[in-house]
Order: sequence, then C-alpha cells, then structure tokens
Amino acid sequence: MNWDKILQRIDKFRFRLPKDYKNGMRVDGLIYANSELMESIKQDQAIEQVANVAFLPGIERLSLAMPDIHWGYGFPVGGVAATRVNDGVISPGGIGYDINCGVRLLRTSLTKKDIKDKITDLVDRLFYDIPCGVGREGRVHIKNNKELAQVLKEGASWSVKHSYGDKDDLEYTEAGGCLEGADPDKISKEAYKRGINQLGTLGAGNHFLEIQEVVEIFDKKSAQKFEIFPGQITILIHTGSRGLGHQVCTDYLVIMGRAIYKYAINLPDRQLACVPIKSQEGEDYLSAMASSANFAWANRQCITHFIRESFEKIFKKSYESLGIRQVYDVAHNIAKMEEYEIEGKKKLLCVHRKGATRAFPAGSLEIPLNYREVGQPVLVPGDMGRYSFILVSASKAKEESFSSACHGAGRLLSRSQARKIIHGRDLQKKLLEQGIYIKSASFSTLAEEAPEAYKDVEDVVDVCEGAGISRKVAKMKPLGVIKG
Amino acid sequence: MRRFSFLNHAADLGIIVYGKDKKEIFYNAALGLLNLLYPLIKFTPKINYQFNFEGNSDEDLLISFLNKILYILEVEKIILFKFKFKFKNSDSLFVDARGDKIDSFKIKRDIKAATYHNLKIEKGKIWKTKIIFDV
Repeated sequence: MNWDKILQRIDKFRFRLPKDYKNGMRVDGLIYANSELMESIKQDQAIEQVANVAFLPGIERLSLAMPDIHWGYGFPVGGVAATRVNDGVISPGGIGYDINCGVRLLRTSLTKKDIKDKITDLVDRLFYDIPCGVGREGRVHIKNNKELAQVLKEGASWSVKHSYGDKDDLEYTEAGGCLEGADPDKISKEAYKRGINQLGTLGAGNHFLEIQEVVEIFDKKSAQKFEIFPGQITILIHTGSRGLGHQVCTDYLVIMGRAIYKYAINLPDRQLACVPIKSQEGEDYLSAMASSANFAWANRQCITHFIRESFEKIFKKSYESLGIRQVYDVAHNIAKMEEYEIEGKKKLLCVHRKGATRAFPAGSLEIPLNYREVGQPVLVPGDMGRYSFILVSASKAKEESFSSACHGAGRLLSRSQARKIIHGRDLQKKLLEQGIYIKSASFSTLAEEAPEAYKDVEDVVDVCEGAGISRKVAKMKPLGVIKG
Repeated sequence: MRRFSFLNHAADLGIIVYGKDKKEIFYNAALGLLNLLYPLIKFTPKINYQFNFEGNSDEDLLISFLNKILYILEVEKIILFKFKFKFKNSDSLFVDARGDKIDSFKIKRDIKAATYHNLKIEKGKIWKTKIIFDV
C-alpha cells in the first residue's frame, strides 16, 4: 500500500487518514507520529487497522493512534476509539485479551549509591519472591471460587484488606483499583479456573519488573508533586489480568461473533466483533471486563507487597523507612465510561484504549488530590536497555485524544526477527556490561524483548509532547530487570 | 506437503497452515500452535478429551478449537496432539483429542489466544489459512 498518497500530513506530529479511504469508515483516522516514526508505521498493517476501527458503530470524531502504534489484531496496538454510550458499541478487541494490562510505578527514598552493591541480590530476591514466566502459580492462596469472586468485585482493595499493601496505594491507583459494575457471575468457570492460581504473578511475554534510577527531570513542578527526584530509585511493574482476562476476552468474542448478525453490524475484521453498549451482551461484557480489570489491579497490588518484602529482606529495614510508596497505577488495555464535550454538548463515551494510557488533565476529580494541580501521571515503559518515562497529561489530550497518550515504545522487529539476530544469553551479558542486571525465566523471551526489537521510546514520548497530549516529567534508566 | 510455516507479525506470532482438506487444516493448525508452545519431544497419547464446538463458520470453529488447546495446556497441564474431527456443516464440530501430561516449566511461551484477525480459510486444491496468536 502506498500510504504517502492516502495519508494527509496535518502538522509535524499528526497525520490524517481520511474517511473516504475505505467505504464504511464513519470517521477519519488520526495518527500521532513524526516523519521517522511514520516510516516504520507504514511497514505493516497498523494503518489499515486504524481504518477498520473507524467502522465501529457510534464511533465519535476520530479513530486515533498513538505514536507507539504497531500492528495488532483487530485494533492496532496504540489504538483509541470513543463510542457513544447511547448508540455506540463495545468491542472486546478494543481492550484486548490482557484486560487491564497496565503499569504501576513505586518510588523509594533510596538513591543509586544505596543500591549499587545490592542490585544483584535484590534482583535475585525479587525473581525468587515474585512468580514469573509461563506455568508459575501465585503465592496468594485463593481458597475457592467464592473468594475469587470477592477479588473480582473488590480489586486492589481486596489485596490491601488481606495485608497485601497499604491503604494509600489505592488512592494512587486509577479508579482506586476497583471498577464499578463488576459482576463475577458474568465470568465463565474456565476463566475462574485460569485465574484461581495466578494472583500475584507477573506472567511472561512483555511483562516485567524493573528497578530504575531517575536520570533526568524535565518538569520540576510535576516531579515534585509526584515526589520524584534525580538519582532516586524507582520500581516499575508491568502486568495484567493473566489467564483470567485472556479467557474472558476469548469467551466474549465467541458471544459477540454470534451477536453481530443479530445486530446487523458489518465489520472488516471479525476480531473487531462488537455489540451495542446498551444490549444484554454489551452489559454482560462490561461487567466481565470490570471483574477482570479488578483482578489485574489486585494482582499488581499483591506484587507491590512482594516487592516491599523483598526490599525489606535485602536492606533489613521496613518498607516505610525505605520510602517505598506508590506514584501511580494506570491501565493501558481497558474501556472506560468518560464524559467529553463534543461540539458544545456533553456526551458520555466509552473510551476503548488498546495499548494507550489515560491522561486526565489538571483539575480532574478522578486523579489523586496531590496531583490535581499538575495532572495525571502517564507511565511509559521503554525497553530493558534504554529508559522509561513519566509523563503528565497536557492540554490537547482532553480536546483531541479523549485524554489518551502513548503506552510504550512500540515494536520495531517481530518476535521471530528478534530471535534470529539476538541470543538471550548474549543479550544478558551485554546488558550486564552496561550496568543492567537481568534475570529471565526464558532466554528465548529475553531475545524477543531485546532493546533492538523496540523503537526508541524517547522518539515516541517526544511526539506526544510535540502534539501537546502529554509532557515529559522524568526519565528513568533500568538497573535491574526481571522478565517472565 | 508442508504442514505449516511461521509468519512475521510485529507484536505477536503467526502461522500459515496448509492442508488437503478442512480436517488437515484443523490438524495442522494445532500442530503449528504446539510447535510454538512446547519442545518437540515424543508424547504418549494417554489422556482422552472430547469437545463440541459451535460457530457461524469454519473460522469460528478453528479458533474455538485452538483456544481450547491453550486452555487445557494452562489449566490441566496437558498437551493435546492427536485429534479426530467430525464436522457437521460449518456450524458444529466434535473433536476427540488425546494428549499427555507435560512439565509446565518447559512451556516455551505464554500464548494468550488464537485471534480471528483477518482469518479466512482458503479452500482449493490446497487449503490454506493464516492465524495470528496474541502473545
């Protein structure tokens, strides 16, 4: 496809995909990218997927793609679509199999000098204490389905109630770590079976846990609000709802595949299967999605507790005295009901974020009181060899991107391409020479997740900043990484 | 004839599956998936499962079948590798599957699901389909 003839350049950071590109598109596509990123975006089917998302009934204004967009299945990874609650649809493919995959950032009062002689012990300890990789079961014992149903209803607060974490953590978690409307009865017995042993596990694939050093501050005021300072040690967790969420998506895609005939919905890709939000199937999915999202928040909360315990064992001090506190926890695979002003009218929209991060502006009541003056932290992991970023929402996000920003670096190489040119053991050695100690459950996964397989996340966040949808606050470099 | 080959996909994994008919497409798709999941060793077909699937198309049935293999692997720690299929048009499938217990630590990667993305079973002298798995 010669995209140069189709895409219209709006400015340095925006490209429009006009709705007349494909018969059936209801709105234009808008892709945030600079010239260099666009060159790699054009190499696969991601732009076609932006067009396909524009077919969704009730989609409002734009089918959006963040600058880390890459080829997904159904939605592109990095895709955002807001559908009207009144007459629009919910599409499980717009959330993905890993419902509420997200990131949580913890800060500490430690600096690099406190940790440099302990990093190996610390990473080894974390690797031992936090189950990761395929086939590992969790340390959190869930007695039966009745107890699991409580987790699904209560989310992170279930974990805190059961001594996995601190009450303050909930305040610094999107939606307080619990989505309303969760109904565990809308989840299949298969999903229960997959989830019951997986609470408190990191998983595999691109999930990780990283010990980092803050190496640069860009926005002092926001950094102060987030209690981030140069040289500080931070910990980033990336995981989601594990097999439970995967099963929920699988189950509902079957249900919706049947229902699209009932509702006469015409789509270019079966993976986009959707139903009206105001339908029995739509309501059931939203209840199941909320339950899965709550499982993911409970999962990241339990992992937070294990991290604190690991640090306590190595430093022989309480986590309180080590200052291990939560900066924020935010989902990047989720659908949320949010209100926006469109052409002077307030509308309730269902914002699908598939590999995109919510970025609520300063003053939002949904973000912690301490952060309201500056806006919501947007946590953007990079690759394990370079850096990650804390961003904060900027003014254009609310008016243009349905308060969304990027979620990561975006892949450059496929997994098989990465495995062909990179060997896990060599990579581990090379990164150690660069001062990054890595423990991985699988060398093959390590190769697939190599830094070379990803775009430079700084290019991605610079586009978000240039487009005015978020601003850089701080940059963190990895010192120790655990991969599943 | 080649049973399957691997497909480049930016974030996930894919296979191209070949067969002389529908049954072979289903069988070879399962073998392609198993190749992504577990080291190729000799298994003994000790455990028997029977499944019924319903859908609107062969594609629906294929994805439901592959996702069942993933489910059994994750929950039961059993790899299914021998299959007998009975199709009733394109809306119903009965599978008699045999498998073996595995060491879950040897599972090569976490595959979340087989997806419907651009899925089409091409029928002809040689049947063919492309399947993308979410990793």
